[in-house]
Amino acid sequence: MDSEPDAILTSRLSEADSISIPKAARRLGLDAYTLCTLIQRERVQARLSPSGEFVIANEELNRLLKKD
Amino acid sequence: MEKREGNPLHEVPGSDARLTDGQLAAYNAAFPTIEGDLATMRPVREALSRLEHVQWERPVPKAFASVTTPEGEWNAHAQLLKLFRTEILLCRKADGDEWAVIQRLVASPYTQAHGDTEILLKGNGAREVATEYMGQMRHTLRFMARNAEVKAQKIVWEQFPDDHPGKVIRALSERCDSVAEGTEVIKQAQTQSVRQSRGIGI
Repeated sequence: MDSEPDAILTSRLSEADSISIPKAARRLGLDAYTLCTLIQRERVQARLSPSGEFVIANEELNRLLKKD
Repeated sequence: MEKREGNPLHEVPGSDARLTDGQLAAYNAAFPTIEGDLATMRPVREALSRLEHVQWERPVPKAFASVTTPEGEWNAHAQLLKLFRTEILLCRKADGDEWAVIQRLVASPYTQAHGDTEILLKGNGAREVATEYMGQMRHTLRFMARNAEVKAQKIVWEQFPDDHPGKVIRALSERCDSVAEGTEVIKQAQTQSVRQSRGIGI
């Protein structure tokens, strides 16, 4: 599917290890749309939840909150 | 009201599917989980629809702001998208002919770590970079719609597995697609007055 970003890892996360894109956007202080663009530009790594929803791993969220 | 075997069939927005009482209950249980996602997609789709009607052969409007990036100064000639925390600007290099699409973000935990201004695209013409950015907007809207569909499907399959959920899922998918593709916006626009927009003579 052409709408799937290349940066998505195929391994799946448990729900406890990740949060949804809207929740991650709120934590980061971004619009959800902007976070989705960052995923598509491979600046943010999304993962697949057990249900097939794209989510952000807690580890990745912590990385985004720190300076490079 | 349409009926099948004496039972009423219900219409839902954005789809031509007709749902039984049980299927409508499934639809109504799942839709609130994606309502917020669709609400975040709508202003993006509305901005994209406006940009799709811009006559790019017209002269570009005058600059209204300057933007500083690590690559130098740029003059903002149009606002392509404005969200609560995001502004996307069509800019021209202050000391050259290069054009760019530049993202400016409101101060946040993310910008504290990664900065608030970023060049998304560069090119030789306003039309070229704006058209490429519009393609990215469509791509992102499809991604958001797909993610919303998956969330809704989960509710339907988990809570209403015995109500022929395929038709419910199709109705929810079509609702998401209608937002991403702007067909829902067109229906709303028929009852709204023409909106004002900055720059580009939209």
